[in-house]
Amino acid sequence: MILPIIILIVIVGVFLFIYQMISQNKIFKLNALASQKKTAKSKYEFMMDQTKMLKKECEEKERQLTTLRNNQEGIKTISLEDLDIEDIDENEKVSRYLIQEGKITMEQNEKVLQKMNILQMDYLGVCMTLGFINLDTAKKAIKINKIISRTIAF
Amino acid sequence: MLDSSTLYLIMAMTGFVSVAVVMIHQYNCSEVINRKHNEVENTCQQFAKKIELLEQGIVDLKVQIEELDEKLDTFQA
Repeated sequence: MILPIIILIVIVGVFLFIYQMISQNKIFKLNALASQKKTAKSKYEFMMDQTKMLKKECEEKERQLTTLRNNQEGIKTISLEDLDIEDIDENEKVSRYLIQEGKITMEQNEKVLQKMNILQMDYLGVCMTLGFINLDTAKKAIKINKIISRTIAF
Repeated sequence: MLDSSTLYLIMAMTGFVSVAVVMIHQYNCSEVINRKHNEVENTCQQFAKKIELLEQGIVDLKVQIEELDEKLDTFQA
């Protein structure tokens, strides 16, 4: 009488043990997979950060180079011939100013000119939308542009 | 009180039920693991492709930066 009960208890014990082992194995494997995914993601994020950093560095150096070039070549002022160029639109003046100041690169300028038609915005608006310049720089560019326009008018 | 043959019968039935439960549990767990494994593998492959592209981009950027450095040195000299 006692023997079957003992065997029954043993069977239940073995069953619980195996059940728990399977569950633990599942959790262990799922954790391993999650950590594998996390590693791949962190590596990707690290590479993204590095790319962003390098891009920033590259833009900074391009800006420095443009500034240096402009400093060496001298600031390009509007010549007498240019004085009656009222047909040169404000966008071009502003773009010239920003390139001379080294606020944007030639590549960025081209990008802005391409996007102007798509976004239906003026030059400075597109520059700000694309994040090439901030509001202060835009205001400064407008101010300079106005001064130049007034000079031309006189 | 139950006689021994009934108890043996119950024992045998408990054994069968236990084995069945363990088998179902094992099947479910392995399916979950397989699904997760496939998901992780796909994600890792996607990341690997993106990382490869990023690595190429980084190499290009480094080359570009070196060129810019050289140009800057030339201007500063």
